Amino acid sequence: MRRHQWFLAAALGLGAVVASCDTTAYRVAEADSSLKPPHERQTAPDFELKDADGRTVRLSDYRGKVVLLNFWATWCGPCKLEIPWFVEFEKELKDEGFAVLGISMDEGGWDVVKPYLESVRVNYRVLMGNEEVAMAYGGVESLPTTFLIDREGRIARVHVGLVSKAEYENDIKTLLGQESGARRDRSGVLAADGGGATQRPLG
Amino acid sequence: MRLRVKLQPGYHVNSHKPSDEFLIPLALSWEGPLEAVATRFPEPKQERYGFADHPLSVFTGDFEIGVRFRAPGGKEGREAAMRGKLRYQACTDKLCLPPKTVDVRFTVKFQ
Repeated sequence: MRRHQWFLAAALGLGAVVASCDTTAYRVAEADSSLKPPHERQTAPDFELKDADGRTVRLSDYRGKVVLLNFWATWCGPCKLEIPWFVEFEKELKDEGFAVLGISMDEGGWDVVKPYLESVRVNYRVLMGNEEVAMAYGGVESLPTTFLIDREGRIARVHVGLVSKAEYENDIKTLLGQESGARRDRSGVLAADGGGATQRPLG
Repeated sequence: MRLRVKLQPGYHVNSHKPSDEFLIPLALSWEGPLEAVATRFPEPKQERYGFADHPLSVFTGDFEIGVRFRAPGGKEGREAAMRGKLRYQACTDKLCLPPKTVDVRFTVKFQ
């Protein structure tokens, strides 16, 4: 065989992303620079996914809570840096009406994800994602991609890529303080406040 | 045969021997009449990134993968197509893209 010197340039990195998404899906254009004002927030697409125990979980189950919805994978280093922060947020804020939901995009499934979750003692619900839910959220491809969802199930902010713990804390604090037009005081009596934000300290 | 790979600035791919069990290694496989008897990857870089506690074994920029093939006998005067798959997973220091596979093809003429 005559030896052939073949130079083949294979361009890697950001190639063309060809995706066909439902036009009614949430459109993720770019990361948001700040929380969207309530009137600009779109409804977060509902989904049904399985958790590590095989139970079906819907986003709509969390209506009334502030949700941090995090798309991640075990092969994503920046994702894994954020996870201990989310564990802390879940522990400190769950009684304030906050929840973290992780959506794993690992092709290897629970065989890969469960050992990792146990090793880092994740205390929040992790669901196994699929292409359908990624498309519903505008074609999530870069990881981590994190959606902050208000108590009315609307997307308040999108983060694409690693951000600081403080930035998450500030956003969550603001959303926990924002009510849907009425607030319940500690005695349980409803009081109308015209939808204004009420700042409450964390912890 | 040498396969030249070009990464866009800011991106790295895990090397063929990543430093973490969860990381997806660079891998090259072939189908066709030639047998790949040796694959030579360049020496990986040990790079530090803000999201990791320890250096990662990665490739960045432009690099080449060398492959030595063995041809079967009795094919003189014939042509054959080789089809390869290069699997990689790329990240920046802030985000990661999902694992991808790129097709690699070339034709060889036996003499």
